Amino acid sequence: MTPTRAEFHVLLALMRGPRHGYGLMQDVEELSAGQLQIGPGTLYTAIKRLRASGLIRECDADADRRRCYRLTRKGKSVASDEAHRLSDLVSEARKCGLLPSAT
Amino acid sequence: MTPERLYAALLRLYSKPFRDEYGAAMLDAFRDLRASSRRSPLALWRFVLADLVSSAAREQLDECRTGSRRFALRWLATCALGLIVTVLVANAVAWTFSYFYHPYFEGLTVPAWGYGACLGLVLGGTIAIGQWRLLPAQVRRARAWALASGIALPIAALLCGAVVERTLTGLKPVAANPYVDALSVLMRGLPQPKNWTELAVQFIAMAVSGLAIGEITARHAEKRHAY
Repeated sequence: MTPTRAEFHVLLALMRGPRHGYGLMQDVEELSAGQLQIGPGTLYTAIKRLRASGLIRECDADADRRRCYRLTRKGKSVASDEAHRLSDLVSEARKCGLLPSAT
Repeated sequence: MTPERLYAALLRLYSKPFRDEYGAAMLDAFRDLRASSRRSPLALWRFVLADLVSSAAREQLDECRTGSRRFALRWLATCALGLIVTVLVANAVAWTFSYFYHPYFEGLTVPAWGYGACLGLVLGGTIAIGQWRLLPAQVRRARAWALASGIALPIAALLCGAVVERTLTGLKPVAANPYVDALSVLMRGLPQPKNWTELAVQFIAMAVSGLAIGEITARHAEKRHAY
């Protein structure tokens, strides 16, 4: 499974630890520096797909009895693969002169 | 009506299994979003509605592909899509021939089996693509394809026969009353003995193209979900 942009941000947010739905929405916005804002619809369709693929799983409810989610080992592996893919893409963009050199 | 109740009503855009699983959590998230949002109420609703409509459309499509919707509806949709596209292509070809008619083409004959096989490829390919979009991989690779093709192919053969007749008549305008010929083909199938070969070729072309496209797309889908 190749995660979509929103799904990848959800996986990244869950790298910080278990989160409930609204917490994930806030983290995604923060991680993307406000560039990506997802609503409940996008969030829960992403959660459904990620759960079905075994990348995240539900954990015990928090103090407010809200449903929480955490990353699985497979989820970490997929997030890592996607991060490497994006990193390679950035390297290529740098070689093409689209980005300034890292040095 | 309170915003929460309105949002709860809008959740009906999602399928029932999705609502049952995530409806309450989505309502909680909406409540939190509304309480902490710095947007104006109008901007908030614009954001929420855009998010809701786009994600509901995606989720409904996903439900059609992998969920519990009735198989017959999806099968009918693939057959209808194939037949509609084939009719459109056939009519476009017939219209092109009649529009660009020139006496030079008088007496030119197009082999019926070749044209029929081409239409078969269009039909088989369209149904295969429709099945790939609408049916889950394990179904489209076996049962669904056999069932859909088994019923769609004879219908398509009749359709191809009628269109071949109409196109050939269009190339020879001296022949009278093309619609009676087309109707007779539709009513009686392909009555000439030599046309059984044409019929067989159409069947084979449709089955081979559909199966090949189905196989390629199924493998592609498997690779994409290989994690």
